[in-house]
This record gives sequence, C-alpha cells and structure tokens, in this order.
Amino acid sequence: MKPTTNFGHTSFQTTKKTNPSHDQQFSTFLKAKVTRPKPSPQLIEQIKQKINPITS
Amino acid sequence: MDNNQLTNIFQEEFLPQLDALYAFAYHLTKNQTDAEDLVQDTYLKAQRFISSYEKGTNAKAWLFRILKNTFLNKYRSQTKKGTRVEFEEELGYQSEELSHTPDQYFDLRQTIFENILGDEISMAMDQLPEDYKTIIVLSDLEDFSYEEIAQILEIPLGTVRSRLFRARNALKKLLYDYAKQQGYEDHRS
Repeated sequence: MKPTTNFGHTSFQTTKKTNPSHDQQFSTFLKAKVTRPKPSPQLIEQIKQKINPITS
Repeated sequence: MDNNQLTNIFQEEFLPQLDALYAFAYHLTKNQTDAEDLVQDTYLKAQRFISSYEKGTNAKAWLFRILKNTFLNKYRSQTKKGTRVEFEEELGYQSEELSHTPDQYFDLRQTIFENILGDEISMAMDQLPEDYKTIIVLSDLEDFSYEEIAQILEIPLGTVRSRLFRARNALKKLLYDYAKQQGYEDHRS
C-alpha cells in the first residue's frame, strides 16, 4: 500500500510523477540555475516574536 | 490544544517552512516588502486557523495553500502582471501529450542551455502566465507531488498535469529562443 500523507484533515495518496527522467532533468536544471530568495533575518525575528501562540 | 502543543507545532513544523514560504511569496509578488508581508499574513492566518491543522501532517502544503489564497485575495489585484490560464482542456492536453514528438526546444542536455544564467531563467519565468509560473515553482523548485499541488491550488489532478506540461514547454521555448538570441550555439546536427 502506498503511503498516505495528511494535508490538514484531508488524506490523500502520494504517487510518483509520470515521465520521471524528463521531468527530473528539467527540475534539476532549474534548481541548479535559479537562486532561491532568502528571507531577511529581520523577518525571521519578527515572525518568531509576533507570531508565537504563547505570547498571543 | 494547549499552548505547549501550539508552540511545538510552530517551532517544529511551521517555522522550518519559512525559507520555502518566502521564496514562493517572492516568486508571486516579485517584491521583497510584499513577500515579507505575505509571509507574515500567512503565519498569522496559520495561527488563527491552527485548530484545523493536524500535528504531524503536511505542514508545508498546508501553509503553501494559505499563502496562495492570501495572495489571491489580497495581493494579486495589486500586482502589475496578473495573467492567468483560463482555459485548459484535459482531452486536448492528452492528445497533445500523446502526439508530442520532442522537438528542438526540449532537449536540455544540449550545450545551448548551459550558458543561460539563473537570473535569465528567472526573467523568463516572469514572462509566463502567473498560473504557469506558480506550478513550475511548486513542482520543480519546491518538489511538491501532483497531489499536493492539486490540494494547494485547489484544482483537479488532471489540470495539474496538463498545466505543468504546458508551463514547462512554454518556459523551455522561452529559454531556447533567448539562448539563440544571445548567440549561444546549438551543437546538434
């Protein structure tokens, strides 16, 4: 049986993508080339401080 | 759910998704300030609706769906480029895929693509309709499965497949045309 991943309260199955070699080639190409924008340290701190269930 | 449980969920499941959420927000808004606001709004909504999240499930997909919906409701009307893919026909896509024979755009092993820079790819992605760019980010940069993408974008699985197929082809054609325009050589015979 394939593993089931819950998404919130909705269960669904995770299956492999079709045509993996072609898709994988393109994904690998994009990941290698495109730089992921990073959040600023200030944003990280703001979220940690403001959005914390204990302090709300 | 008590405060300790809520704190654990935020610390262990939600905060580790911050980099990915920011990257997705930046791709959508193309603006650092709006991306930061969008991420903060996403975490605020996650906090508000945390009772509907089940600990230990797919936090990343859950948060991405909140971010996408927040963007649609608040930010997309403010962005300059809001083109969407309105018409997608499953039957059309299937016949298109079955009859497809790889042409000159689709062989990324060729040296013509090696010279393209990441910024140039980002610019090409920005030329795509918003729905195409979004699905490429989710699938090829964030590694979501088709099922997860269907949940995040709230579209049928067949639409995920057809949209992704068309989005990739559109991007490859843009990249190929750009590379040729820049004079990069295609060594295929």
